[in-house]
Amino acid sequence: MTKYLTLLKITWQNGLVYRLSLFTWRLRSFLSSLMSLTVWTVIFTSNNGAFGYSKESMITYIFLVAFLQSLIISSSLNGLAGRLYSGEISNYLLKPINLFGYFAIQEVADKFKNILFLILESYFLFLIFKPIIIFPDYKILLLFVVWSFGGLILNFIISLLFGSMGFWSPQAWGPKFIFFMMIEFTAGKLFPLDILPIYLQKIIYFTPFPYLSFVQIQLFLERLNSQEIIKHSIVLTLWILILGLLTHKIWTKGLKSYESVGI
Amino acid sequence: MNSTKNNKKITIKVSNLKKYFKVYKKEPGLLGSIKSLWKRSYETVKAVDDVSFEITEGEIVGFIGQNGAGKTTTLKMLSGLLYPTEGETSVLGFNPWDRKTEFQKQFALVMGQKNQLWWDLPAIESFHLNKAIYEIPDKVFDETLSKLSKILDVEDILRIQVRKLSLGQRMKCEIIAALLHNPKVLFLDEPTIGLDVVMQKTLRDFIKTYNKEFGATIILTSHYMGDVKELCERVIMIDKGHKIYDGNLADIINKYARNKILSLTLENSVLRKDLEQFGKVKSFKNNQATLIVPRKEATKIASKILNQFKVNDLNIEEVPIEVVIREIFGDKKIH
Amino acid sequence: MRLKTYFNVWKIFGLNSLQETLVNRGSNILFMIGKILRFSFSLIFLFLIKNNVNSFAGYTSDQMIVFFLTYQFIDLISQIFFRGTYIFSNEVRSGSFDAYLTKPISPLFRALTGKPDINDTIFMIPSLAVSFYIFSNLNISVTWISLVWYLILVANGLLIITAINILILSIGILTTETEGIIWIYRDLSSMGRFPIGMYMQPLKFILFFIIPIGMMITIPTEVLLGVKPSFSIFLTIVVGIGSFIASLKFWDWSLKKYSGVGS
Repeated sequence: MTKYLTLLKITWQNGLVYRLSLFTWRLRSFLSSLMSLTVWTVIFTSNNGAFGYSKESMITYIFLVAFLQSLIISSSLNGLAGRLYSGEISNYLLKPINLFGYFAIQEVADKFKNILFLILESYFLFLIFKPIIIFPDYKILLLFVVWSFGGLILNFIISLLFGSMGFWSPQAWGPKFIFFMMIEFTAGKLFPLDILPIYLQKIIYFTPFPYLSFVQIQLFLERLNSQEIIKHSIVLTLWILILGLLTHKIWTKGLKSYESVGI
Repeated sequence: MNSTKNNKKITIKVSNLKKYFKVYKKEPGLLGSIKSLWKRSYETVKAVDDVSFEITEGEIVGFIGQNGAGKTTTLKMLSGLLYPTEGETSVLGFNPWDRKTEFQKQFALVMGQKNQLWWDLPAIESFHLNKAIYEIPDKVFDETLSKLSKILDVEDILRIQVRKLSLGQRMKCEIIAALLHNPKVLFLDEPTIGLDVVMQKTLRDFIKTYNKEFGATIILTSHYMGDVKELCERVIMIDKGHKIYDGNLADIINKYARNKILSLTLENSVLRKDLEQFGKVKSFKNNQATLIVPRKEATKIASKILNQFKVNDLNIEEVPIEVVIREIFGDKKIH
Repeated sequence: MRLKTYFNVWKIFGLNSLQETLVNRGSNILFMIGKILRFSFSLIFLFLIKNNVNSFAGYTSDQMIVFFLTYQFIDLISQIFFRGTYIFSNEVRSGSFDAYLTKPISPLFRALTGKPDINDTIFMIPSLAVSFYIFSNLNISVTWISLVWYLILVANGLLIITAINILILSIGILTTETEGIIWIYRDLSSMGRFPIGMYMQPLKFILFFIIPIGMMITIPTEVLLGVKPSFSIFLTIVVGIGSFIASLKFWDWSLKKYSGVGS
């Protein structure tokens, strides 16, 4: 266990060396939250009650989604495919540590760094847009925390899945580009998914994207009935299980071909 | 300067060339980084310090020196990439720094570790790009290309993606790309680095041919003494930014070698100890031995040995040039 | 004739890029899908607003769409021509830029235009067609004079975007690290999808005068719509030409710095 703690410490320090990229990442996230909140404030200034939302509930919604998404989507594994392809990862295969343990540690260190900045940013946004945040009762809050943790794991698995492309090809950014494009629009930060036409909503619910923060915030705002809560709990678990198994299979296969190449 | 022929045109002239870099020293750690935000201590690195030389048309000159001695910095100043801190440079009558089109069309810089070919495309596409950049007429382009690819034997691979070529094949294409506009002056920075022995030989032969056929002036830096030995009559040795030698490669031995090598074959076996009184015994096996002896006393020692032992064969040889140069640079690796 | 040489060289840049795109067709198709997704989702979002909201920051919802289309057009043009900016810092690090400097052709020209984006060129056709179709169906009044001014100001906007690209290249020479800056710039420019006037200070000032996205997109659109522009046409053109000249000067300076003049 101590070696993982040391690893956590080193990863943390190493991350601070690359301050610029963390700063960039945070600034980008901040700007997109700012844009989204500004757009909705402007819309509701002259059109209160549009889309079945009041101004306050919309601003609160966007604020919360921006916060949670920032936490869930930030990942240390964005460059994983490149690291795999270049052979950098093979160093870790030689050491007596679990590779996924190592990735998880990196992820945790990364989240901690992000959270510090996230709190600061959110404080600014809070002062400017003044969302009204009412905490739900403790049962819902507890489930919200569990779902959010599920979202974190789901994103971790998806990142590993994209990363695994590095076993076979140096060009993993095509799929990643689509992934980010989808997140931008279907994870609910630019607008809540329930303002979309029903048929589009149905399509989007067939993807894992709403489970990367939209449903969590719906739960937090108590916009879900008990039936929906059960349904989303099951679907989120299924996504984690299915993608988890798939990722496990692909990595087992990938590592075999990786080592046999003899990088 | 015995190697400069007075009746020939001077192509490259460098006088009192200096290049100083200012680098800032950072204290280690995060605290050091923060400190460096407002307080930085600078240090001046004299990469090239007061170097002068002239090179006449058609010469091949080798630059030798350790890593970081200032060879590449000098080449970069001659190419117009770096601005000299002090001193004059003139190549083909131009100041390289002006980066005049007429100048750039007459020279080429090849860096062994750098790649100017489009990675995902066949080399021929990069050649066409250079054709457009250098405004080479169709006819000249076709002729030069077929000639160069014939000499280098790459006709079959010009239409294969560059990423799929071997290092040697890639280097050949790289050289062709650099020579399509028939440069009169050629700077080669480590052209044979990483290549196998056969490929090194091919490239050396090619450079020789190019020099003869086009009368091109060539400066070459190399890791491998083999390149320099085979190609360059004249070498310029640079150490810590200073020129420490300029002249015939062979003369380095006369100037710097302190020792000679005596190799003997003896009639009867002797004790190693008996030979050690004459000099350092380098190898000793059965009745064969090699000794390293001071240069000036080589003949004297040889005759002493002949008197003392029954000798079947005795040779006095020069120390290999690599060894001499290694000694000059203080036993460090030569680049 | 040097102009002809430059045109020939650029033609080969384009042809080579096209071939490269075809070689890596797999990931390029994915990129294409990503771009189409982004464009479609943006349009869906805009039409959702249009159908539910009457006015937006003092504009009709139809007028708001013109801002978006202008952004889309200017952004696409700069992506097509100036794709080289994205990979430039990498070329400085790898030493390819040294090779550019020895060639009898402007290194700035090569750095800027060396990699025209084929995906965006192909994408331009449907996106322009859709844009024109939407534009012709909007309920807005456009006069010939405002259209002419619009075209002039869009050209001025392209000048600004060129200047920004040159600025990024120069920073690339000085720091050999521009990925972060490019992304931040992309995010800032995407704020121009909406009229800049709606953002709060100091962001509004930054977007008009520091990174003049407003001068690039908002003011031409305002002039086209016959709305009183946020700043005068004269000032806009001064900013356009001024930033272009300043960026060239900055490029020269950083090139000298790179080559060690005065250091």
